[in-house]
Amino acid sequence: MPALQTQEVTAILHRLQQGAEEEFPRLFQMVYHHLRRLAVQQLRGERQGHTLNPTALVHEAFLRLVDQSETGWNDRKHFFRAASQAMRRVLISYARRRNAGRRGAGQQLLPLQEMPGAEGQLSLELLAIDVALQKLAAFDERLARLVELHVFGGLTLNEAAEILEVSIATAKREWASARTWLYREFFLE
Amino acid sequence: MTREHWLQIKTVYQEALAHPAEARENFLEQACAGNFSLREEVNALLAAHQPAEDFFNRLTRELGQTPELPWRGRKLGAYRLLEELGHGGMGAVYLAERADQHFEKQVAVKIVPQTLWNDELARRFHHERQILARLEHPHIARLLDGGATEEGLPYLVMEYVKGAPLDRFCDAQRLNVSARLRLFREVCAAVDYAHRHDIIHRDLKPANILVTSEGAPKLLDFGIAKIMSANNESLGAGLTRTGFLPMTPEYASPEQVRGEDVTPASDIYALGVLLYLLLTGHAPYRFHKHSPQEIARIVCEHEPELPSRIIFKTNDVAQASLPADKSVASLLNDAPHSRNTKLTPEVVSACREGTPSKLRRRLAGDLDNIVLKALRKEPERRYASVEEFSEDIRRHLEGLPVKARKNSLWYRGGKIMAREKRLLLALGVIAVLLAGFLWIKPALMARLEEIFPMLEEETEIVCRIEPARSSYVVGKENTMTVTMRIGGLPMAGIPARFEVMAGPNRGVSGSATTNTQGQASLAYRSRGSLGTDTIRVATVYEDSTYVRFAHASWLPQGTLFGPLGAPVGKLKSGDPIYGGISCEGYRFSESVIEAHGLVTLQRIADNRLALQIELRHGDPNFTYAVEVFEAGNDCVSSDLGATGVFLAADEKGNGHAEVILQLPYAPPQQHVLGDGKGTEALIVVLHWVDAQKGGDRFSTDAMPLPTRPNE
Repeated sequence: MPALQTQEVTAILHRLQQGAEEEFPRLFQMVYHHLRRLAVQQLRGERQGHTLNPTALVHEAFLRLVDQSETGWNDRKHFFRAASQAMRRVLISYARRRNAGRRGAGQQLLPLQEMPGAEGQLSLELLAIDVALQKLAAFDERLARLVELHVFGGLTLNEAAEILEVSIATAKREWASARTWLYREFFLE
Repeated sequence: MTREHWLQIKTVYQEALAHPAEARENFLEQACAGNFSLREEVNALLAAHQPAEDFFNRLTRELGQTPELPWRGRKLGAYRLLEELGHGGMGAVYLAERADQHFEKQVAVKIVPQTLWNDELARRFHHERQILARLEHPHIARLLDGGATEEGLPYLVMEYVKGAPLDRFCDAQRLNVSARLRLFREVCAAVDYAHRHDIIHRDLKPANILVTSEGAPKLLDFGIAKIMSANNESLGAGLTRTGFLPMTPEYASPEQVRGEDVTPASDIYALGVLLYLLLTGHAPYRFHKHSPQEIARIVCEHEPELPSRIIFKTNDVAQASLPADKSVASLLNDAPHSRNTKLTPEVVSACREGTPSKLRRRLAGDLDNIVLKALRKEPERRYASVEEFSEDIRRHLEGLPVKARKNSLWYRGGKIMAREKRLLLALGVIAVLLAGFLWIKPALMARLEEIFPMLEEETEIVCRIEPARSSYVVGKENTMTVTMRIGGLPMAGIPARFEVMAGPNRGVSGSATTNTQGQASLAYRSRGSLGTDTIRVATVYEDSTYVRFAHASWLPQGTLFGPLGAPVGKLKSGDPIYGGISCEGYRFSESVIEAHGLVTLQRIADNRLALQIELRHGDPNFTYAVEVFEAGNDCVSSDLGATGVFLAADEKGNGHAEVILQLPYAPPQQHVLGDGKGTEALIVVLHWVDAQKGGDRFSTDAMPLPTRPNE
């Protein structure tokens, strides 16, 4: 029942706000399952059916899973952090399936330049970003989180800046660095 | 790559980007100072900067993210987007033209991000569009078309209006109060027309009312809020109603912020806010945090200042509304708001009536009353229709008496709400902690009248506190419980009911009225448990999931509540009893923000009462009428412990009430009515509505409390 879920998510957010970090995986799980359901609905409803829209999905999950009257901005930060991670997983598993469906399971990622056509390209790009992002996280975690929020979570840079508690100017600079590094990582190296 | 190495590269790269291209070489020369590998890394990043930006812009666009989308030049259906006209909470608005050049018609296209286009939304949209297509009025901009972008974002095509937002137009043109009123009446005519076609605007505000260079107002976005909220509603279950309706908090009515049904009265309210702004330059409410809770609290509980008074305040200028199109800049060239960052009495009056005192005289009386009538918290106490509202303004303009009257004590004292059409008695208790050794009733009353200026003219004394039957007990934990007997209540034949409302941050409050047998009662606590002597009596729940903790208790007549509300004394067979309900807390199985209950009490034996609790939610017909106030404090005090109101009437219909309050017995503080010397008094304001005879009735009395022991 959605209402119960909402109560639980809201309660977890409150506990996280009080420092109970161990609750985060539970939040992630709940948001992930919900996002996956929403994604299926979205893909089913779409005629051309080629993309998932993270902005819409994450915000929709937010509306459904969080009791707005009971949460402040600080609680919401945890939600969007979890939702961006969950959305990343949704997008990646979707991209894997698409990729697998077209080219056969277990196929190695090919360099992007060699991929034909625009169709399905996005899936591969997302997979590439995901891999590169794991590397980036090893030496600049904040940057990786920013990318996760902005690209996978579909949040604007302003929203991401608020969640990471940095100024908008910093977020913009960091985003420029991140995207350039990622781009080089999967295109040129 | 190591973290340190990367951070060094990143820092230099970011600083290099901050330098203009021609200065970069020099900067890198210095920054890298012979570190060739660093220089090389940074150069590689700089070379990839532009392609990376292009790549990610395309990627995020394909993922449907709007902020970085270059909309300009894109084709949506038959329209090509030209320039952005404005950006608001509900999306961006673009000027567009027909791509096929079939008609040389410019239109406005509104794109709504963060809403998914789905079958349900499409269905609602087409349905609403058919309804909206019927609106043909010279002052209403038409909705022409709509659909979804490739990314699945809904867009709407509307008639393009060249004009300036209503408030800014009035200020720029320095329209005086009468001219503003006449323009406002034209707006009313358009809204009234739509209401007659069963269409509610839902989001009336200056940005949605443009005035053309001919001086004609045009209303935008009629009914759009409904289309756009359809998606949220379909998601469901009203979870999000307060948080995310696409409404503008400054213009949202109490019923809107509570997520209740929106009716034409909500538009009347928004028009009231608009008129307030046009006449005074100020908004009736100011929000600091914009959290849903704060907005709900202020909109539902705060009374706006009289327009004739607010003009003497100095405030920061409210945020500018939708930026006006450049082509209408001439309409706005001299807008005072563009020059000043503060609203002062001088600024406000300069573009209206000249001086602050002239403006005050112009607003005081009729216009104060008219504006505040439109802004009443309860929809049914506003104007019954936009036409009536507009008509009252016309009467004012022509010097005829207007219908709007001053707000009554009902609002100022207790904000007690009465929605029942039947005779309803409500008891408002104002507990005032008063310091002062000797309590002198006339002095107290005079002071009371200062606080509630309406009291004098609207009070008729009918009730009285009976000192001989009133008493107090000092309990533990610095509390004292006061029982007051109030006689002389007009209570015969009042139907038995009281209703309970629970909500966040509110505790529980309730009201009591007598039943047909002349007895009904209510006792409740806002928190904690009532105590061990509470006895459950026959309790019938409509649905047990709705109420977790509701005890009925019986009390011998005249019983005092002991410390923390535990009843003292034993009930003997044959004693007259008062039934009671104490609600320790409400728990709702659904995410219901408010629930409204109907409770009926029935005497089934000498010492037993059957209590029926029926809670409904989503029903706007609720009443809550007993509230305990502390002087100088705007809200219900949650510090007060057990409070109870017991009403009873004899066969002749003479009623009395017993009011039980648990008050903090704290060291003297500086109270509104006191001088800090130690005696407290309770002031009771009795309020009831006589719907048959019409109008609100008030009565007040006061009772001294004991001198504190020396501390």
